[in-house]
Amino acid sequence: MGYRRVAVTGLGAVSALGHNVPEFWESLKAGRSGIGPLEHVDRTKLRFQNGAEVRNFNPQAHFDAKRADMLDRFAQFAVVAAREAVADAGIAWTPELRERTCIVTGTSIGGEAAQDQGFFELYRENRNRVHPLTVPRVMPNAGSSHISMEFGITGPVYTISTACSSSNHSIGQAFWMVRSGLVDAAIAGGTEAPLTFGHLKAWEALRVVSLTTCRPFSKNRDGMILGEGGAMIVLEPLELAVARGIHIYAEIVGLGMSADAFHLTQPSPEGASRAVRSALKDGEVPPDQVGYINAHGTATLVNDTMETSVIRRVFGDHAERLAVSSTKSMHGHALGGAGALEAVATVLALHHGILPPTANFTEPDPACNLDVIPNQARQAQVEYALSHSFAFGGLNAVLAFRRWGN
Amino acid sequence: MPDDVTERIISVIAKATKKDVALITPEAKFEQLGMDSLDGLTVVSALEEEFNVSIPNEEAVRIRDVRQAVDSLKKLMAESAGGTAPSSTG
Repeated sequence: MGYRRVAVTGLGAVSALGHNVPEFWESLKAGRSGIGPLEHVDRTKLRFQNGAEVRNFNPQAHFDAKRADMLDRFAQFAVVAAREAVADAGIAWTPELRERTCIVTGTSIGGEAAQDQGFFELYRENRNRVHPLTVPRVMPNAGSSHISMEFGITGPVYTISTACSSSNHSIGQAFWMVRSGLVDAAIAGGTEAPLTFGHLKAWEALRVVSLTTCRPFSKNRDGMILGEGGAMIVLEPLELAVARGIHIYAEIVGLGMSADAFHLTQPSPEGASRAVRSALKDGEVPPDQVGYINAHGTATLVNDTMETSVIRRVFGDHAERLAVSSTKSMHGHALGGAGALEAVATVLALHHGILPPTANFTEPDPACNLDVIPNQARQAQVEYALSHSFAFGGLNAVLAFRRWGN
Repeated sequence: MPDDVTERIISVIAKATKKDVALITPEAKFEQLGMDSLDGLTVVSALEEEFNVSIPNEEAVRIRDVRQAVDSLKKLMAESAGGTAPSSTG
């Protein structure tokens, strides 16, 4: 049986740039960063002060009080993004389609806020019990479970946790299931809500968070900025999407995965390069037709130099003609939700023929001498685009998308 | 003879990296001891705990050998004793 082509027909996003995709895209086009002082924690006890928070997110605006109480913040983001993506795709659910739809969601840490709250009450307030919903709130698969119940989806539903590659692994698995004919629709993506005091302290101890802002590929970059939120996308067979006349944002054509087997936190250019090459091979993508890469681009000293060498290594001379940007400069690093936000950015870049910039860029770095689209979005109709994710633990996942012709 | 601060630092490094204290000389470089970046972070955190100081990021990245650890700690302790509290915002 041959592979089916797969279309992206629905998008949903919650991030520091807004609670929906139109707000997300407006900010990306304008090069406007959502990074600012962290408002939900006591900053006086933190070395770093800034983050990319989802501001003014009121659960009651999206869920009745009882339902909101069952959902940790990361799962609320998952359901809100899935609702937007499904409505966007205009899917008319039937019992058959519900059985033949998969959901794959990514998260690095799951219900951190619920866990933090429960342990605070136990250890600090000397209570002898935690909330009985702590376990279902904390479980990393809460996002996919709540989405399945929201729409009555009964096909393959699961969650992948591979740190900062969680979303790309998830979208990739869903893509392969649609492509192989195992399912006829997919909701895939990832979300994260990591901005609890305990988790921020864990990042502080790693000393990779910027004291200022996220400046990917800039010589004066000094680390990442943590973010929250995430995104979901709807995938379906291209033929089906065309038949029902729904808008097609792009085709998803390839997934490449690899492991470094090298170091827990130091990336390896060999491992990352293999993931990029695998994605190109899986999607039968001619390397010289890749026009845009949404980079992992964390703005740590090590990542951006390594990623530049990966792009040069894989693309050779074509690296000179490739546009590369890190939208983390605007939506921050949402860990397990990052790849999904970046997939939406990449798909919209292909769809609109506008490449989002690397914001906060102030000083070229000879070690990152690529066309990084500094600060200003650019009009460019590119044929293929990639989205990179290289995770702690040395786990890499790269997605390849293709422009859908008008 | 190593002074008290040096001896305490060596003992902290040995404990944090699960190494025999006899292997860690005042001249030792972390790389020679087989320590990577994560070991370095673990040592810096253990030193903060032992000496009750906050080591800013720009100081932390310089600590790649025992001698620099001693110099940095002495400087930070002098600053905090002189009334210049270590910055909590690094």
